[in-house]
Amino acid sequence: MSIEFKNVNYVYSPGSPLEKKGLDNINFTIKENKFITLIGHTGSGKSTLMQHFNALLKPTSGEIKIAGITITPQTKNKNLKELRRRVSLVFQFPEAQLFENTVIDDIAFGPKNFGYTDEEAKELAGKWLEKVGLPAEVATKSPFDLSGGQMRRVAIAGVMAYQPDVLCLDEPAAGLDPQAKAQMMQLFLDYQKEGHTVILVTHNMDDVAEYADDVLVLEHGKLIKHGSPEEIFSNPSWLKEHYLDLPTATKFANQLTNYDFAETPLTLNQLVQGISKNVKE
Amino acid sequence: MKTKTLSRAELQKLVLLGIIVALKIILGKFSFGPAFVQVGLGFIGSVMLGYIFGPIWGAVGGGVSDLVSSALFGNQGGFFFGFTLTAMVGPLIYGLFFYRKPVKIWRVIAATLIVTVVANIGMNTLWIHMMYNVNFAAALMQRLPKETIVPWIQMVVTYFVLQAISRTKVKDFIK
Repeated sequence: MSIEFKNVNYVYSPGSPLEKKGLDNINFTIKENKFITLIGHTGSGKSTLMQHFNALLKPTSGEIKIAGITITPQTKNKNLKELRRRVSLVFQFPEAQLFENTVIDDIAFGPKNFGYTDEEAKELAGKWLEKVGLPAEVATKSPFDLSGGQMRRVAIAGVMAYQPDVLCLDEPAAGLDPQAKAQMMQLFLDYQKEGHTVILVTHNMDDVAEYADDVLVLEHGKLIKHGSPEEIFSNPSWLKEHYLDLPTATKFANQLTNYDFAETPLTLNQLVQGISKNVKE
Repeated sequence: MKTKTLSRAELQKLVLLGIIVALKIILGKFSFGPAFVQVGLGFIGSVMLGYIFGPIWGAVGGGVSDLVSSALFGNQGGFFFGFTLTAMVGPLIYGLFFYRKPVKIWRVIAATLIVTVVANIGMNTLWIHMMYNVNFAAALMQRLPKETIVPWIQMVVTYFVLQAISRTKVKDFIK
């Protein structure tokens, strides 16, 4: 199965003086069970695109196929629950959506909403509390008594607990310390390896290089490039033209003049390997 | 001239009041239910004002919210100061019942009924009578069916809203 966008357009407040084009003729097909990243500078339509994945926004024209469900401009709000169980979004700063009495109830809210019984939901919540790296004793605390990073984990556990097929994340690691960030990213990578699709919206090119199988680049609501990280980062002048950056490792490698790399290194590991190979020769 | 400086706690309280007033204005733009008994959500803002700030500041907040809302969105049938008074009375009554008191079902029922009778049925009908010169009894009869259904829905919502607010840390700001 795959995720398919066919001639998707989206216009904000059509017919009013505030009319603004959000997405402009988007066409792509991405395979499921991959790690996909969505990049582009601020206002390029990343969030608009993301909100189409589970029909928070419906296309003004065109068609979307995702998780075996088709979304068209005529799609009714009534039948979207199944879609939202399969495709879930983690918004930026998701800790803002916590509200329950206890952490465990907060995580169980999503599963209960999608038809799990109370016990099943609690059990899942307990399991995911552990998976996101929180100690069992926070389960009975109020979510408002946790630190920012812990709240973030609770919120993410709440979205992952009912195990959506497609998980869309908008800057999930923003504002976390390096260790927590690495842990979070590893959690998403493991989730993808278990056979789910992960879509990551990010400004961090190092994450793109490190994790992505497939990259979508947006600019002014248009999809300007779709390819592997190698393809995306192969042309520095094109990137610069579109206000995008290279991964740190690639930047560093480009400044090493008398080194010879077989492939341009994208990640720190590749860079280290490349350098040690050069040094040995 | 000597001016009294605002203490940190007072400033915090003032900013929170501003936020709740803004919240009330936004909530007032929403309503739910079938067409014949639309339940607006503005009362949730009034409940919050009364519960958090008490009768006096709650009433001030309610009045300000009506003025700001009128300025931003306008009023159906033009501005009329009576409705500002109504907006003040709601939080005032909620404040008398909820402020610094444990959340109890009887308080919710009593407060909602009094707000309905005094503000919604009494005052608002009077304002309509004054503005449009319609017969008071006629205006009352027209409003009565809705005002007998909506309060019961409001009570349920109010109870859950108060439960939810009482477990947040919002009250730490205004000690």
